[in-house]
Amino acid sequence: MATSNPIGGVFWRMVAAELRKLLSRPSGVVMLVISALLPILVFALAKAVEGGGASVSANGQPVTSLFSLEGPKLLGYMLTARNFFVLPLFLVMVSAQLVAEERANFTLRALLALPNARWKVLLAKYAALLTLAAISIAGSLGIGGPLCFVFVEGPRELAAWQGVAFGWVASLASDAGLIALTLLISTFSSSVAGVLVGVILGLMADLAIRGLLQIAEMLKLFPTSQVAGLMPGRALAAWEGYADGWDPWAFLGLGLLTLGCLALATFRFQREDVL
Amino acid sequence: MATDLAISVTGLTRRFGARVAVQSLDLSVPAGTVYGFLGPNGSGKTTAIRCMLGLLRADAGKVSIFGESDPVRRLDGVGAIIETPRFYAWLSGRANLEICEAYLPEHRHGQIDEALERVGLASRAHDKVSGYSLGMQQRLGIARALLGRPRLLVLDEPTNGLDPQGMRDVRELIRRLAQEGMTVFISSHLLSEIQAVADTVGIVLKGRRVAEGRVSELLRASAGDSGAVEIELGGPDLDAIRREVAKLDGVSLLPESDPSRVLVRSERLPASELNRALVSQGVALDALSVRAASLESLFLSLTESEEVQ
Ligand SMILES: Nc1ncnc2c1ncn2[C@@H]1O[C@H](COP(=O)(O)OP(=O)(O)OP(=O)(O)O)[C@@H](O)[C@H]1O
Ligand SMILES: [Mg+2]
Repeated sequence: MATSNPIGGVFWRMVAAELRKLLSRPSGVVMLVISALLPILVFALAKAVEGGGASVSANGQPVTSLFSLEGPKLLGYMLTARNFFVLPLFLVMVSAQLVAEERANFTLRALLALPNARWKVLLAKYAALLTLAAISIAGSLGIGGPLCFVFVEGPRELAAWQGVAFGWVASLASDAGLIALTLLISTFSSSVAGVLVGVILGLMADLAIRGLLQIAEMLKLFPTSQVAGLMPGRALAAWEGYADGWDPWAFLGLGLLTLGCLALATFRFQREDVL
Repeated sequence: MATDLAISVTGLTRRFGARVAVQSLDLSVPAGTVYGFLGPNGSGKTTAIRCMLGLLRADAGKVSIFGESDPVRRLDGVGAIIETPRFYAWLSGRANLEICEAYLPEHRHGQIDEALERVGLASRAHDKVSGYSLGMQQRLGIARALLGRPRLLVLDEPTNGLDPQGMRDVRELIRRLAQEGMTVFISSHLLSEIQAVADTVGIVLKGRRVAEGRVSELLRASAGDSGAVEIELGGPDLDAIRREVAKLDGVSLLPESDPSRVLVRSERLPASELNRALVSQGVALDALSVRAASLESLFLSLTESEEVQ
């Protein structure tokens, strides 16, 4: 009979099945290919700038010395490239495909007519998406890291790489928050486009609110910087701390965002009518 | 008691806004039978099935399957098709079943090949579902429902999109599964389909159950204890037939789906007497036959009386 462990063998097979769906369709494959290509692209661009700069001189010195490119710094650019727009957009899209799209094309009902609690089904989808995000990050870092370490001038001692390395790890936490947010919005919309628009509108609203908070701060109405750190937009960008200093409020915000969205998504998913 | 029932539904109600799709529905499906769930379009069959499977929340009522009412646990050992089965189109038929199997408890694994074999899809199992015909998808849906060797198979209009051969295959498959001890709950508006396989039926109209029981008993009851017969009449002037029949004592008109025939129910007059009576009034007949009691006439008479109210 069913195991007494609430998250037993069936759960992990469910996760594997969801991951199989993700990895067998174009969106998932393209996402991983882009993850692998982006660091190569950034590397090639950096080399082009460096090579071009060497022949230009200003004040009798080659430009490259002004534009000092070091390994950890380039790995940081790769991280920014990875987390800027394209891959998060893919992540939102594939997340919406597992819930919103499956509801719209009625494949969801076959899964939900089986003897598993719905929260477990949603959690399996979440775990599969998080695994895909981890593969994407590992792919980018696995290609970008060696490129920066071997082919770029710069420090070789580990301490110099710690900050950016933590930035890469933190971006998995950001992805975890973004997936949770997408699953929540997927309980409101049954189209991938609708979910994409929902996420984008939500983050724009967040930006606007943070703008208002900044104005309030300038007008000295009340201290707002900590509240701003907790806002989803700041929280999802917590990984940026590798460059301008870690913001504990952003990480707290990210934790709250992830857990809050997951809890609310589960609550809604548990109760929804499935046709 | 309750454990002899594969499905027990009591007082099931589900509304969509102001519309009541299922209203205080009671169903008792004996274990080991083939149960036909009949009703015209929009009568609430699919809605009732969705509620049984926990896909829709019921506004009221209780559902238990083999005595288990927990909404998750009662689904263990249940295979289902609801409306048109849908699949991950970019994957093969087999891969679709593998994904579904991953969602089943481990002791129910290992049925994929047999299920594909049973629905005659084994040779196409490695093709992508996007290349399947409607009938192949329907077959794959049945195979998916058979994963894990369910004790109860719930089929909502399973012969949709199947050709005559496919319909016969499904009918035979249902018979074989029933022989193996599986309870089959099959919804349809194709009455002949149901009559060919079901031993028990439930009939719903506008979300309410209007009849339930063994097919043979329902038919006997509708024929009446008096031994009334249904007689099908044809002739050049159907209106004249209807007019004269109406004058006869103990003979009543029944609704008939075939426009070239008049169907009557005769309480006392045997067919030969009816013939004599009509001919003596100058009404010509070119066809007269005593019809075997069918679910269709039972169904139509139930529908008719409903509309009169
Ligand atoms: N999701 C829904 N939203 C609103 N109304 C619905 C919904 N699903 C069903 N209904 C209504 O409930 C009633 C019963 O529908 P249902 O699909 O259960 O009928 P059915 O007996 O399965 O019909 P059919 O033989 O055509 O499949 C119909 O009036 C239908 O319009
Ligand atoms: Mg239906």
